[in-house]
Amino acid sequence: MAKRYDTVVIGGGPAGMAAAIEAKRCGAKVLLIERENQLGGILNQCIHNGFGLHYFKEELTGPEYAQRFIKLINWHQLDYYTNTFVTKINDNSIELISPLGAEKIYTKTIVLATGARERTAGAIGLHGTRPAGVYTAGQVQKMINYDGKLPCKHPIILGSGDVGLIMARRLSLEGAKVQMVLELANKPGGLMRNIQQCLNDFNIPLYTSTTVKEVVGTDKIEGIYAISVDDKMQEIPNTLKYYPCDALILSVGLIPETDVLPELELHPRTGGAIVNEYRETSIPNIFSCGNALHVHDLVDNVSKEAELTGRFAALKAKNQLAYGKQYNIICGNGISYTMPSTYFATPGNLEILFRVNNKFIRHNIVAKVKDKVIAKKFVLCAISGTMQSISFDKGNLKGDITISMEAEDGK
Amino acid sequence: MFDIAIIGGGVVGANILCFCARRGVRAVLIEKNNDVATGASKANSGIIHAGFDAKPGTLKAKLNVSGNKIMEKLCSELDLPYQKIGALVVGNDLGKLNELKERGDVNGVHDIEIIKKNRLQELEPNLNGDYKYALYAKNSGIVSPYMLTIALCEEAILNGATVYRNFETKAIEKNSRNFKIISAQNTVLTAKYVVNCAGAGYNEVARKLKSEIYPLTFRRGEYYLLDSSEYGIVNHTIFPLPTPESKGILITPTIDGNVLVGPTSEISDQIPVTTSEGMNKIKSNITTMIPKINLRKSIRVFSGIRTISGDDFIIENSQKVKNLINIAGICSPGLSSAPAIANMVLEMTGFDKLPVKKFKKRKNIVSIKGKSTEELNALIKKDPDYGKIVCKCELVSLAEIKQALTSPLAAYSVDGVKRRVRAGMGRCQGGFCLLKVIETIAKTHKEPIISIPKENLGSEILISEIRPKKVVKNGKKI
Amino acid sequence: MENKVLDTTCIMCPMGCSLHIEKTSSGEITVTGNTCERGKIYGTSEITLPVRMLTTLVKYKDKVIAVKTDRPIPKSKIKDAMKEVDALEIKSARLGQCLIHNIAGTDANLIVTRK
Repeated sequence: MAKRYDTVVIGGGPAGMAAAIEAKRCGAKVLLIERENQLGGILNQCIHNGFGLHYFKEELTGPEYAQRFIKLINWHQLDYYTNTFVTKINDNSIELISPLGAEKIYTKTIVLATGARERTAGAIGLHGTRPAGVYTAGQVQKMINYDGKLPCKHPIILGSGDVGLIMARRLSLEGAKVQMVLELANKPGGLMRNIQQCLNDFNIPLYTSTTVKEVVGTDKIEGIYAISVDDKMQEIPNTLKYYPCDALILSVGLIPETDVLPELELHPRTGGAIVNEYRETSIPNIFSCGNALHVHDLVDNVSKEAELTGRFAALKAKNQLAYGKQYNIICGNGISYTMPSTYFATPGNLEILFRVNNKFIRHNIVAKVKDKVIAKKFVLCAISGTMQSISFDKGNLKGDITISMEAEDGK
Repeated sequence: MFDIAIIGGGVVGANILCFCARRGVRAVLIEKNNDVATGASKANSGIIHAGFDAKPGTLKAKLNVSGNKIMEKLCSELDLPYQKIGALVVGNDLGKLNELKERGDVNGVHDIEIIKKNRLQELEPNLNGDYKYALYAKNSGIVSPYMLTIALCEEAILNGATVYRNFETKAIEKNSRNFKIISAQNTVLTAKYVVNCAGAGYNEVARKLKSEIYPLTFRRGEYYLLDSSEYGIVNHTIFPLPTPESKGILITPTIDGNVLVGPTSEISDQIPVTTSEGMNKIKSNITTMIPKINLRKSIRVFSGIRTISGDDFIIENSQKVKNLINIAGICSPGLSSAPAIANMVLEMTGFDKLPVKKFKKRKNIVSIKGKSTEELNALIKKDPDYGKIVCKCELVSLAEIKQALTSPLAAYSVDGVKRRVRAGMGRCQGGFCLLKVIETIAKTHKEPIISIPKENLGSEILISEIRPKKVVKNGKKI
Repeated sequence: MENKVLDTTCIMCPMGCSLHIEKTSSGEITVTGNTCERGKIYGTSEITLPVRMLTTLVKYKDKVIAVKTDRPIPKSKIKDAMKEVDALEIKSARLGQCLIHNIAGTDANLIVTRK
């Protein structure tokens, strides 16, 4: 007899766990599926702290944050499978495989919480040879934090996003000498806190407007040729410089992992699914949250978003989700993308997450329908690396909403 | 004591080894790297050409056509997938296309015809509508060139042949009866016949043999490998009109469900690299041919080195050294010609007079891709590791990886595993599974994890412990 | 004791104000460049006694477990703390278990965060 659930959550990281718990709380029969041999997702390898300040009002390491949710999973007696991989998603069922066998499970709704993968060397046009010694930051993080092994003694890191900065500190603490961090853009990508505590604390130089042109070395990497770029990120000729190193570590972006469902319509900016207000994708009854939907910077926001998604997935399974007329949420001045991209004209609270495309100091986040201001929120400082939000009661709201950044004095 | 020693673990050497073993010849393959197929045999288009391109009367023409005829059956015997998808040479110069067709006719190629725009558009809807004509060769096929090399070696091993990897030839001595081949580690092999098919290393080996040295040119070919989501953008292998240098930048589906675009053809040294110039050249050429193509969907760029000797293959009995066969300059259509080259070597040695015995067949590692629930349950019941997914992008289970490490020609490196079962060949390029693959290799081979290489010895990935073991002296830790 | 000067970037919020901090020989501290009170507090702490949380790994049989200090420790003590972590060999590990009391002579303990 095939098993039947109301909601199946694919992915047992912070997003999946929060979604599953909330769906169960809302009365759905829930199954959580995780492909590794333990729950926790990427948090298990993030042994640094900085998690939970908002959600738990405590600063925790990644594994500790995960453990809080694992406790809740067990407390709620939530059904979950580990070492299990979803091979196919059909209209009302999923197919999965584990060392115990392959089976088909029927479900009414599905939540995709499959996280993100790292951008690869191939995807950034890294040229030269293909020796050992070129890794992504996540690969190195696993090597050190799971196996206690170092792949290098004097690496160079390409990419100053938070993942790369965190790894610069980890490598330095555990016995490697990080020579430098190179950054393609003209400013660092990660949080200032990480530049200070991961680079400055360890005297690791950061060179912006620089990228790696070529890798040198036959079997093992011997060095790299770095090249300077202009403000449009175009290579400046005759600026090649050779640096010997025994590893090149890439931290060049995360991409939402949606390949379990290739038919999904993807958002051109985020790379994750296009979703409505309920985080429901272009395929009815399939929802998404976490890094699989759009890459987050704070796990606390992941948990919040995932709870919402879990609730909606549970409601949909019980046919209790109210749809109304759908309107767009439009990116106005300074807005890179919004989440979601549409809303329903039904009563209730609406929270719009978004990222800005510049640094805004002393600005108002303004939500307007035509020229009428619906909501306004002052921010002292908003940067692209930190997700922003504005929420308000929809009431009888109708019409496309535009979100923009407006200067404090109204300009 | 061997009847024949084959120096060079590419597809040609592997094919010779296999055909020798089928006839009970005591054969050994010597490869200097950590695995076979680490040279040109792993970095080419994987196309089994129809044979119209080669100049009539050359070895290239003769061996391509006969190799093509053998390949489908050979792959079936080796339990390897092979697809005869056909090839198109597209262009507007009807004269040049007719020349190619005539060449094909003279070379003995069957099922080639000139087709016109309407038919062409039917066959390839994404092709630039400006092309008026094409040469359509139905017998062109695709195969995995490195899997072919590995499979040939595996079958040979099952039938009594020997493969030495990490065997760098230090010196070769010859007396009236046989050759003595000495490795850098002082392993000594003796053989009556020697075949030098060492690819880019041909001259180095020839010097040790004191045999013919040939002027060799190396040309680099760079490729884009596109994500499986682009599969179906073309249905055949599509070439532009050829130039004197090369067949041109082509686009082809691959046997594994990707799309390959390339190669360039630049004079190079022996080390394969990719360059932005090369990739840009491919981009501009291919966008003319297939305007819809999205090169951003590339998951990997790679390059291979062709070894070229003049206009033709060199396959000859050495005039300077008895019982030595020189094989050099095996560039395109080398892969297509490999079975025919092997047959030629059998003739040159007289081994073709020996009957083909009832030979053991090798089986491909069973993949879980595309299997039904019932089939999967049967596999998992036999081996639960079939249910543990290691490479999520290519759907490769732990059982398959372990089999790659315990097969007749086992892998000992991350790339060796990758070539055999595709773990690490998908979208994330090993981002998620690299560590698990390294751990599995170490566990299965009972080797310390710090010794596991990416490819060759010297390319170890994990280099040290973060908390090294403390040495205890006089009861105190130091 | 001389005047001490420190130029650093505040980490308390995404503004990342450039702080200029001075401490006189008599111990008087002035912070400039901050936009808010939190910046002043951070600047003061950085010039007086910069502290950091330490998260790292401890060898346990043939694996590693994740650990952290249960409170920030002086930045200057990180190297010594790492020496103690490096020398540590443990027999068991429970989540939250204290492995080293008063690490590097500070009032912080080293506790297990992941098995």
